[in-house]
Amino acid sequence: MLGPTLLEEALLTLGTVLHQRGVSFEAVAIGGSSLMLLGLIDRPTRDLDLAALVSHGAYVKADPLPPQLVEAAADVGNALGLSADWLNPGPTSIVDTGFPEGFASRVEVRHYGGLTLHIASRYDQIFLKLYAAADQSPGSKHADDLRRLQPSRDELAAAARWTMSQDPSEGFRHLLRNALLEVGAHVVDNLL
Amino acid sequence: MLSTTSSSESIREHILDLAWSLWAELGVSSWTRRHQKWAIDPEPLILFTALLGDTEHRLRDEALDWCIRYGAYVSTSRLRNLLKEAPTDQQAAFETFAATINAHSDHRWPSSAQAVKYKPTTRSSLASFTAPALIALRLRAVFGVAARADILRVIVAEPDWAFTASDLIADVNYTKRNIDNALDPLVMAGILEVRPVRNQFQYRLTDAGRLLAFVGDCPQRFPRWRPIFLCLASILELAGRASDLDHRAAMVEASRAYQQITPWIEESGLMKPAAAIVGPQAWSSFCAWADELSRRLAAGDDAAFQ
Repeated sequence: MLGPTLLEEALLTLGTVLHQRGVSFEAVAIGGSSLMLLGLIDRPTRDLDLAALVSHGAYVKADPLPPQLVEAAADVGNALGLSADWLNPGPTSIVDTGFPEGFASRVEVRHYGGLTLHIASRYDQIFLKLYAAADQSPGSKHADDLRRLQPSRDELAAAARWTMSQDPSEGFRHLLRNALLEVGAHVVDNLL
Repeated sequence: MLSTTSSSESIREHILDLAWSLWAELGVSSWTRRHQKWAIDPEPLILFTALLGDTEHRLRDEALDWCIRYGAYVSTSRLRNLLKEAPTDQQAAFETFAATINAHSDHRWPSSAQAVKYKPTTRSSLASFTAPALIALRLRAVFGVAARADILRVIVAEPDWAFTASDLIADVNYTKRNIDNALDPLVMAGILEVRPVRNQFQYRLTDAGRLLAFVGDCPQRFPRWRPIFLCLASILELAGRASDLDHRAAMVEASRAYQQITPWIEESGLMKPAAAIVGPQAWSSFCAWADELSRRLAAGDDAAFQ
């Protein structure tokens, strides 16, 4: 499992190896590990999700990841005793359905040698975590992470509107309502 | 940048010592001979030397001299087969090496490269193939330069072994068809006996003592040089890049290299590292192991093997 120190070391090592091999990549990081990088959670995570690659300033799908990145990540994983897939393409469909508006302007950019990470901001992680919490069964780690982010009512309302835009079906609206209740948003109907 | 120059140089020195000593057993002009008790396998040594020769011109020149003079005892088929699995840089180095030999002899070794400027040293000298280390050449002198001689080399190394044709491929380095064709005459001659086991034929020596008495003095050890040299080539390649690697990259590259060579270590029975090649100590553990391994190999020390 990846804790904050090991994750930082793995990224520094990966960036060094990529640089040494004469290649470089830019990617968008979301999910629990990226929250850890921002210092917003400290629970150990299994992997770092890359939702997109950045190519000439535009977001493109990260699935599959480029072979050189996969190979270097596997080598780093072996050297540090991590699982082979510690660096993963995340929910990359979001590139098609659309990131929250203004997402790119809010990312925190960090440079690790040959690897540049665009880390989703706390604000955008609220959107992504609410979507993930609705999409998965109650009691998921996503709902826990969302609670840790302590979203305001306005933030949850914006996140709920964006989440509905990702899947406007009535069934999903029901799941979203449950997810909001789970994270303690009591006056749910005003949010939807 | 990593401060590992001394370790890398030490490994390289040991590997060069090993190559010089093995060639010395074959009759190349050299001061050091430490492998009288280990069987020499010419073709893997030639391929490995071609790789070393890019920077070690004196070794290359003496090895070329030997190959020009005794190349008739070298198997072109084996060279071709071994080349197929050799790393790209080794293939390129061999082609130049082979072209130079072809330019100075009647040999037709596989090559599409240009010969380098070269004048034979004429210092290579071999009175006979009776020395234990020269069992491979001795068997070729008796049975011809073909799969049959190399099959017998492998069998002599393990006289009690019951094997199939497929079991021999990795050490004999001829095609299965060549091996099948060579096993039949050995059965007809009464040297081998054969019996069907499931859907394969299993062979074993009919009378090990009689064959061993016939072939003469055998070495105490038959190292599997093909995987050993593949392993050493990888070690050298990484050692050559050491000065360009920062400590994080060195850790990863050491771990990666060890993972890649592990199958060759298993196949050849070489000694394993005392410490796992992972984590912050990966590079130092790798260097310590590679240095110890290459030192023991160069010394002809059986402790190089598990």
